[in-house]
Amino acid sequence: MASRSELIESELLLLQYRQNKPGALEKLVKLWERPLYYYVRRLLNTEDEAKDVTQDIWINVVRKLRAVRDPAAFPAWLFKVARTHAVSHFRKTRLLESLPEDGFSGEVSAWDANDVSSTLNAEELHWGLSQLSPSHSECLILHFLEGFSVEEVADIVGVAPGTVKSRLHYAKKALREVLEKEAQCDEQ
Amino acid sequence: MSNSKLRDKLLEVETYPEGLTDSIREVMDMKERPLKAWERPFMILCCVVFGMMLIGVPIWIAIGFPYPITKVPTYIIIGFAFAVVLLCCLLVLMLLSLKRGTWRLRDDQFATYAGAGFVFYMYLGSMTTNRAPGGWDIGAYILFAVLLLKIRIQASELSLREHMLRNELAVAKLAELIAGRTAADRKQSQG
Repeated sequence: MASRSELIESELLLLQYRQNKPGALEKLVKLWERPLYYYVRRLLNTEDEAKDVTQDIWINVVRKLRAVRDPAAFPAWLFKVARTHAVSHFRKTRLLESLPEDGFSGEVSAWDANDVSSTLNAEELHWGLSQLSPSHSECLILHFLEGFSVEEVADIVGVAPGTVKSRLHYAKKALREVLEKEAQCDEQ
Repeated sequence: MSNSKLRDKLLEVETYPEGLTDSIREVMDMKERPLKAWERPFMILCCVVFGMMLIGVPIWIAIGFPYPITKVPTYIIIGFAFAVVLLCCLLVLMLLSLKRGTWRLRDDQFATYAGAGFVFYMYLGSMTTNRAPGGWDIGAYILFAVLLLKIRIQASELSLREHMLRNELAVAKLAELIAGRTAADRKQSQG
């Protein structure tokens, strides 16, 4: 997840931007451009699409930045704007895949890198995430990598917290299966 | 591996398009570009002249015609026109006095200049109509003083919050450094 210092820095930079401090906006964009692109890239199929949509997102974010009331809530707001743009682009081209959203109501266990595979590394996880459906990978990215709570993810994604829990459960299961299958193929 | 480190590594794995950074910077420059040195006096001149032309000239022309009908003394209308033009100048200066010379305005700056402009306008109005300030005038002054104070307090709060966040950031970075160092030491001792 985003480190605590990054979250504080993000809040500080937004506050400085409101006070017209020079360079605050640039630093804020620098802090979030890569995580945002990574998220958008998982939602969209091609690099070109992700690039265009990310550019549109930043135009919109810079335009609406003063509307963010609580600077601490900026990351959640940013990802929500990103999702809205990505989904709108996605809908123009194809329909979102429907997911099995019922049948799981328990608590989502914390992410453990060893949870999926004992030899998990970033490249494998990256590949695994790219094999999942956008709805699954976005929940994993937002909750486990960006550190948003289930409620925050629900707000970003625009579904009920129960649905997020369900998606996280199935996403972890799907990721584990994908990685195990790949490991078996490698062994053979 | 902690989630924070895993996240950083994942972000490194993803190829970030080079052109994207430049296009985002272009968007920011459009919003953030400060006025150049030559642009500021030029802007003042243009705005003042424009303000005088737009508001002053029609009033100056108008006072010649309605006098026989309205019988309003000319000095009152001239005074009023001057007040309006001066208020416009104040607005222009307010916009140009920003720290970076951009067109964006902080709430407290806006409150200060708008309040000052309003008081000046009221004062000039009282002078030109040659009457003592009444209850409504005093009420308006008080209202603006309270508004000004409120916005000033908000600005101070923002500044205090900034200082607090700076301290929090320093502590968080220090904690991360210590945690990293401790983990490295532990690995070394195990190895």
